[in-house]
Amino acid sequence: MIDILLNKKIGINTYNYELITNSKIIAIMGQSGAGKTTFLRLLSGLIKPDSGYIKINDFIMYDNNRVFIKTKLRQIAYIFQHDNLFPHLNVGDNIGLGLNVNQIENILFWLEKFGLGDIRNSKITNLSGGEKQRIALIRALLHNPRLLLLDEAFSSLDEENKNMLYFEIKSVLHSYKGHTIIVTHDYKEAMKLADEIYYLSDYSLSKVWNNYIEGEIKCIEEKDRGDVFTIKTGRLDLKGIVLKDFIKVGDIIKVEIESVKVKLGNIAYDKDDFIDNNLLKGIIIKKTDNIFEIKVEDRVIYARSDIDYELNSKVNIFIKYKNVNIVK
Amino acid sequence: MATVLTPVLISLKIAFMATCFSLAIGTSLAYLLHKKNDKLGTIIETIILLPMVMPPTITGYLLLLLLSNKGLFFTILGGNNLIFTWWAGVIASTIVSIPLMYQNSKSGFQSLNPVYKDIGKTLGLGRFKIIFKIELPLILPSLLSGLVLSFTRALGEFGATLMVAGSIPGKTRTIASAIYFAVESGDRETANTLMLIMVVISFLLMFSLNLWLKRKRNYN
Repeated sequence: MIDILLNKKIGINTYNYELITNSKIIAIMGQSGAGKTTFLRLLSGLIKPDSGYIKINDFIMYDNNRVFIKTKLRQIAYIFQHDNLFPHLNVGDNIGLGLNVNQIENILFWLEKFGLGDIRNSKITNLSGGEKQRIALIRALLHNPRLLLLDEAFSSLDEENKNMLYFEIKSVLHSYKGHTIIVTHDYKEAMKLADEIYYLSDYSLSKVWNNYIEGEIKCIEEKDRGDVFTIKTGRLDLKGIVLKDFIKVGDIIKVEIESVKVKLGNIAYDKDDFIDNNLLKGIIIKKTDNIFEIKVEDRVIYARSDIDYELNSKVNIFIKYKNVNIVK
Repeated sequence: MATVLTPVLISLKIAFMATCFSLAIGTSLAYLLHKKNDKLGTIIETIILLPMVMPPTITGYLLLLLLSNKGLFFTILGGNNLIFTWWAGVIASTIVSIPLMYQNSKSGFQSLNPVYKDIGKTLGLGRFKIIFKIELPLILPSLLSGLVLSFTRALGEFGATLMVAGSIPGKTRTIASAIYFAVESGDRETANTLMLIMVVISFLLMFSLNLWLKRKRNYN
């Protein structure tokens, strides 16, 4: 579980980072200067926040100036775009720096897992960009980090190298106990590697391509499976789950629907699903890889789908009421 | 033979000791000051570099005052009078060679990619491990340049050493002062031999350094 709330004033800008998630791999996108690297430096303790807290799997790294765990004790691994390896050390010594004897014994296993073979005695200057980043990753993982931070770590690699690395590391990142935060400007990379994507703009984080819809509560019905509310937003009615008991008819609320939870196509659903869930019709107006922008009534809804749909084609949209959640 | 060999050995001994002190003091000061842009940092740096531009006799005279019975160094050293001992020569040579060591280490530290320090921290390394396992090995070319320049400077030191250590044969007479007195007394043979030795040592040191630096640059 990642639970982060950080505030930092740099110059005239105040950055507010709020991130609460259970996802293993999180990607953070945003334009240059949006504060992506600042976020990673705050997490790693290389710069001090003004206020807030950082809690990773119940380990408190920072808490409003009462707790400030130093970088070297945070068990955080940080991989930069370049220069992750020390040029005066060979591969084995680079990976082994700061490791204990038991971990050093695993170096060869990891080198072979990443298809590098026994290159422990090789000089760093003789390696390709892809090999260097793999070695940096091995070193990072051998430290068993609570948090692995990748700062544009693959952006200097060519497409072929990138795709190979994505394939190799995705399962590795999922299998180790810590969380990974990837900062990238490449949305393909974010989509291939991350479970969740956030966008950093206006000095704060928000989930990418998720739907945030505001509307007025029209009715609340009691159901066996939990109360269901219906909001009216423009010409569109949406059903969602009541997880907070303080809402009432007439309230204006904001709901979030994750783009991955929006299903497209002509899927057969059981009878019950039609009753409480949302079955909408829309037209695809834009697509970027597997992200579709669909016009539904007077709104746009984002959906992620592995099935390709043509532009301007009509699609059925199915959103379970359980996936329409009130945003605090 | 002794008139040639003894000054060579004394010079080498003094230069070696002075280089050791320069390495420790010059590099530490460079590490502490390389990021400082304030007034105090600039004042300290100017004081460190002053012996490079001042006449050696002024440096020597200043040291004489400090090492004399009423001087600051005399008190610090617990009342030991070092004037006219080879240690005085070491102090004089250290003072004049520190600026060279300082300048070279400082440019080394300034050229270091700050990312390496950050990576060291995330790998769980403490401050000293980062300095000794990462930063100092990475600035080795700058340190070696500083070492060779400091050694050759200390080896050829004349004015300041003469002021505080004198030129006592077999005790404080270095190559530089031995040549001076040999020329003054008309002993051309000794002067020529010492000059040749000095040129050969300095040439070999500078040549080896340049060769090593060029090979390293080509390799990288």
